[in-house]
Amino acid sequence: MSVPGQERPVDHACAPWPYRLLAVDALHRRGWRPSALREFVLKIHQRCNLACDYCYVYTMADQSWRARPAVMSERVWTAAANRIAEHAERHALDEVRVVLHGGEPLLAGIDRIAAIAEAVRTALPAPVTARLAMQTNGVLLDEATLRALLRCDIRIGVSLDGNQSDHDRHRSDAAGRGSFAEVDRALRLLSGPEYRSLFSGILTTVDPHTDPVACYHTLLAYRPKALDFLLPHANWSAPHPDSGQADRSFGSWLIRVFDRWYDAPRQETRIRFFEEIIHVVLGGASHSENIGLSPAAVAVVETDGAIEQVDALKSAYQGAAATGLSVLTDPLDRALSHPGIIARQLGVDALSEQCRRCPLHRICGGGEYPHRYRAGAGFRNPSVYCADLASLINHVWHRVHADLRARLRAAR
Amino acid sequence: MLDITSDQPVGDDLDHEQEYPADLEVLTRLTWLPDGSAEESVLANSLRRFLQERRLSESTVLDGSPGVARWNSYLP
Repeated sequence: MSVPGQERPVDHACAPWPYRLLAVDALHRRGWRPSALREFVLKIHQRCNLACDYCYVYTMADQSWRARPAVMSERVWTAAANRIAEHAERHALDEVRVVLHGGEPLLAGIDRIAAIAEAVRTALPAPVTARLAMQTNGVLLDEATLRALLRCDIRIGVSLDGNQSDHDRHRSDAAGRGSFAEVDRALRLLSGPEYRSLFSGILTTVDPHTDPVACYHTLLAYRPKALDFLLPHANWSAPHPDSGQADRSFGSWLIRVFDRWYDAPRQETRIRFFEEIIHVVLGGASHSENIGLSPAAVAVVETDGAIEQVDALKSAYQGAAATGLSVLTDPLDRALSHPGIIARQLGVDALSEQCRRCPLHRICGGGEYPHRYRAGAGFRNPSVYCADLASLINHVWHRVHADLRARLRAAR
Repeated sequence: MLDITSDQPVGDDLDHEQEYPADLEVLTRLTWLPDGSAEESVLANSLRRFLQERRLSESTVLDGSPGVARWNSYLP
């Protein structure tokens, strides 16, 4: 299979699950139907002004960025906007979410960003609305850019990994210069009264060598509405060097932040990862692809128009995110028949036997999908971070349970 | 290093089998029942107050509304 007009074969041979073992026809015969896509990640620029050492786009298995156009052309973003509109209409969606991403999306230039936002909103048929957001490293986020983003109503998430030394250890430019000072300047602007309405939150990649509470306090100083903590991408064939280190595990790092956050006399910010666990612990559904069994409703459009699965799959193997489809030639509905997309919507049926035997599987949902990968087997494995997730979920479960018990005792 | 090819399932040493609070499951399910008893109402109110204080989504838990998972973005 290859993208029409392009020399890029799609080979999923190292992932028998789902590509060889998932019987898509049988699923359809059983009456299974996919969920519509609701969130679209547009890779508007393929390059980055930073060279973070853990970046899944540049430093891991997939190197497809090298062969793609550096920037998304008007032809591609117009096609993407029309495909999103077509999909929304066909599935009677009332709202779609569009994320401008890269590389570093601000490298595309604010005029191009404004044109893309306009194209997306114009293409959507009434009454469908679009919520637009951007995830940026913050380096180029100056006052003029913020004014333009405010006019475009594009919400902004910024990546920050903690204090200056912790952040700069991983998030530096190609010459090794840390980016903290520039990100700090951007976050001060963004959290000020003029632009605060645009400030969605901060994304932090966990480094278990850092002090978790100090990291939380650094992030809190910018008064973000929300935070999220991401585990660095890894899998069974390429585990993180700190995996399995009992004295500084990812799980214990997250537990220390959870306790600091949960025990605050007044909630200081939202932490999506923890909130999602609590929702599912209490019997609800998750809204994050990292927790729970809810169907993933996300598609990515690359700078060349390729329709892809979640970009973090690039951490697994060359072409892992590919579907062979393109917005230039295919409706987004076609992605709903792709085994990779279907596997993300199957809930418990996509989990390994080992996961299904575990009482936590409804909460962890098997962990983040790329973290389940093992070369030669594919994605039907527990997360490589299984032990960390289990310790965190156990901890949250028992804290929430104790809290509710105490309330019940007081109420009776 | 963790290894799922080993005989011991990953995380088996992590107390997965400890008593998971069945009554907490009951607690959440009771809140979905209409015309609950006074006792059920205490349970439901406690849960609702917990969710409000924590600024968590009541509908996600109390209505059992289905979720659709999002990518790592901050769209509200």
